[in-house]
Amino acid sequence: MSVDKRIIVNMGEGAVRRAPAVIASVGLGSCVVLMLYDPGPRIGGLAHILLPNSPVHSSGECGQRYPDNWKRQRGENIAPPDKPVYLYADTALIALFKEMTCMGASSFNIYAMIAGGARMFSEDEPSVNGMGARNIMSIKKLLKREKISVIGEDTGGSQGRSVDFHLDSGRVMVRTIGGSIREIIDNV
Amino acid sequence: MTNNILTPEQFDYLEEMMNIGAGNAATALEQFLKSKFDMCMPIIHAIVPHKAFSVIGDPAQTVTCVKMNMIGDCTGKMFFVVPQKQQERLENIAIHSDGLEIKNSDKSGISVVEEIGNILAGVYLTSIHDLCRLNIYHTIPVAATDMAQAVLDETIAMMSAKSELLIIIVNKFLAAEQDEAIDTYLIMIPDVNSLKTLTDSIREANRLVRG
Repeated sequence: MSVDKRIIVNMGEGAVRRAPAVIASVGLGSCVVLMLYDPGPRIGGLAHILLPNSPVHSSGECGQRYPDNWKRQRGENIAPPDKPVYLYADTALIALFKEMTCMGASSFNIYAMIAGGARMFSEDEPSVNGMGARNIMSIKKLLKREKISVIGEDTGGSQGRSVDFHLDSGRVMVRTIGGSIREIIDNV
Repeated sequence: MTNNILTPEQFDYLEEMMNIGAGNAATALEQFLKSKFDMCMPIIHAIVPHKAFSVIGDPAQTVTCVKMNMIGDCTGKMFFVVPQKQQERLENIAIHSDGLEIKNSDKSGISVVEEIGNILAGVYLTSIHDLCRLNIYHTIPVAATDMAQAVLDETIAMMSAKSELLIIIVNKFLAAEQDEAIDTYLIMIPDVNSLKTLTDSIREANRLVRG
């Protein structure tokens, strides 16, 4: 696995690749990575999300502003070109999904995994209001709405994470400081 | 390194304020750690928030980070970041210092960094107060040890949509009997509403000084 091409995804970026490849993201605090995977053609996508909602339509509930049939509208612009789509949970999900289906993933087989959303400073306000918890809530709500099942997650807590998403097996390894490595398994 | 928020004159003045702050910081640290410190001229970076790691370095490196809020005339966030290796050296100095009584626990290194962050933040804010006539205070520090990006991303996420300026002060301390300097990063991110207050005060102070 280590010889696979390793793609590093920075804050507010995203990547979609076909196996063999490893998509990695380091230093997740309150940020959340959303990973979508289609085990058939082994196409996976990862987005490093910072914020729960894109500001363009901040008045509505997250995700509501997109027409229900956005999955069928191929090639449509999902955000103004100057707005970074992977920064926000709602636009990131759609961008990943569209790019994966364009590459040949089947929209019925795609499932999701999420990691991140920690609260780094324990003295901060209760986690309900924390950015990490809000990111996770928003992403889960969007996934539920789009009927994409979450098969595993490693979220919350007070430790930063680094994530390696192995596209050949669909496995996700999560590292924290101190060297502990664990795998996101089917735990939901 | 500058961005478009500050003019070169304002940046010069900011640098000047921070240089004065650095002198006071070295004195304060000497008093705190009872150890002789030499301090290099601090390097000031005024950049957009998401470029922070171009200065701090590897986002995955382990750091101890102290977080404070700025309150008063200018509000925002402050961070004091010390990479782990440098933290161990600071801790070492503190342990061998005569004036300090350090309890032997896992958290002692963090509390040393927390206290140094507290002192440095106070010293730099005082120099802003003296030269810009702005009353800025900082809240009680809270510390965490983790990956650099993980401790900063929440603030960068919240600020990136609103704030355009992040000031990083890179301080190099050279303790007596040590060859290598200790790098520390003090980060100030003013809120978008306070940015104008800060830049206006810097401009006004600069005008008064230079006539």
